[in-house]
Amino acid sequence: MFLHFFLFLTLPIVINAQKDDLAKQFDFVDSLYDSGRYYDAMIEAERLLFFDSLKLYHYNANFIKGQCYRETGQFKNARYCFELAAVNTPSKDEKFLAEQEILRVLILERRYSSFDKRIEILERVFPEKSVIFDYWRGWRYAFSGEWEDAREKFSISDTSSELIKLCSMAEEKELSMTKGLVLSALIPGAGQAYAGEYLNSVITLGWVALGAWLVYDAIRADRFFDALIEANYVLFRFYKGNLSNTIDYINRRNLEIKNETLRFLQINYKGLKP
Amino acid sequence: MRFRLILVSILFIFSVSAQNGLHSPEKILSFGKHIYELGFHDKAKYEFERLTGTPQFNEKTQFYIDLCRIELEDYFTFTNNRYLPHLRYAIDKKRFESGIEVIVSPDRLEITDTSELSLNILKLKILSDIRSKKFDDVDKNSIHLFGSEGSEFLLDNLVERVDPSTKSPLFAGILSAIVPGLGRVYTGNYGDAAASLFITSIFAYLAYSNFFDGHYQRAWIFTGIAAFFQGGNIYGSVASAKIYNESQRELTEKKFWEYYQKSKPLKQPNKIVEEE
Repeated sequence: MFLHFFLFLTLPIVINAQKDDLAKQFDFVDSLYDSGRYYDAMIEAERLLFFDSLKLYHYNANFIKGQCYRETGQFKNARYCFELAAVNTPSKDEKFLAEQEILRVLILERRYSSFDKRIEILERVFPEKSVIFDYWRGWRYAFSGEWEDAREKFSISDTSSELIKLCSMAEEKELSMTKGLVLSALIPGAGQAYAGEYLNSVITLGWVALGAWLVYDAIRADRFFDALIEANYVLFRFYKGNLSNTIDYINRRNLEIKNETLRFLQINYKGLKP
Repeated sequence: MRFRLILVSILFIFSVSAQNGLHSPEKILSFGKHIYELGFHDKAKYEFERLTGTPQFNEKTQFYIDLCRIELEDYFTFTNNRYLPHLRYAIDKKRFESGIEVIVSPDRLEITDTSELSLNILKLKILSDIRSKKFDDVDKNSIHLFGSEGSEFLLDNLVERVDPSTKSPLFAGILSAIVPGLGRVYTGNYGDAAASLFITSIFAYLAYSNFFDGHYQRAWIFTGIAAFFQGGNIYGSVASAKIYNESQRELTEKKFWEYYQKSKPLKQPNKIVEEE
């Protein structure tokens, strides 16, 4: 009887010893992560998960693993770890933090439709966090180059004016697709010139002019079938090419503006970012 | 008696509390194996090396270290122990998976018995031979090791490799030179064939018609365009035959690797060792 009682008393010591080890290991993982040793931190977090049979640290370890993966650009693995973290906690706040990390990863991955679907569901689960969700929506729109929407969401989420100002600046710098297309439709090559591609603009104008002259020359000689073929295979081909070229150049230019702005934010913005 | 039991219990509790938690040799070994399975071979190697000087360090631990080195492509010398044949198998398997032909020397086949390792070496030889379009008596007599479905697939794959259905690029070019688009019909690209025939013919007709009516300037422009399209048509037909041949070869290779990934006919070397 005494022996049983003794063992019963000492069992918590054994369990506590194990808990203590796990706590130490978690601190170690945390310190590795803080010092930027992401690969080591990820392996040590894996050790924590491997020996944590009571799942005491499954949330924290998976969360840190997810962060390590994100920092090293392994976004798919990062999302998976954050999903595991969210599943392994009963706490609503911790679940929200893990979900927030998934949203950040989705932005980095440019998986906008997945982001939109997920945030819609999350808004129903965490209605009290709508301001935070608007903040991440702002970032999602900034990443997709939709500056007006980004500015609007940043304004709702009451973030620093720095982000709002940057969105306005990027919007001002951005080229208008409608303007470019109208210019190219009226004067072939003008849209390319608007996008800063002057050589391409001259070449396009030359080809379209040659096509037009060929068609005009055929009509003047009463060779209407010739004119039809020339219009189809020379004039309209280059005219259509002129429009699609304009779209490409404007998209490329706007992408440069977007990347420039995001790079600036990555280096200079001190607040929370994806 | 009771006093002894209590003493043992106390010693047990203290030993549990005093040991280095998650870093005891037993735990290092099991964690090393775990991360080896996950594919973190550099870290797994480090874990196994940490066991040096502990009772957990033995021939099997050394084998795991060598396995990690193989995965990290850092293998020049190995410790000569009873797991050397397993390591040779591991190297050959890795080479095979990297697309390199594996030559299994006859001496290794002679020692073939019914052990798991021998069977896997034999299977590896057959797979490698099929990839290299070879099929000797040993392969023929042992292909049943892959099961009826597997062996049937492998034999079909071998036939596709040895006697692939190819199209001659030269013949495709000649056909297109005679009738625009005919080379593409030969390679099965009917849409492109129709487009080639239509465009080349129309410009050739316009060139002829303008020459006939005395519009020489326009006639030469159309001749140039027709020649340009005909040149493209011939070149495209040649390229189309080459693409066809390459896509057939790739398809055979893809089917082979899909079978390999799905059926996993070769056992992992560490699994063989663990099961022995």
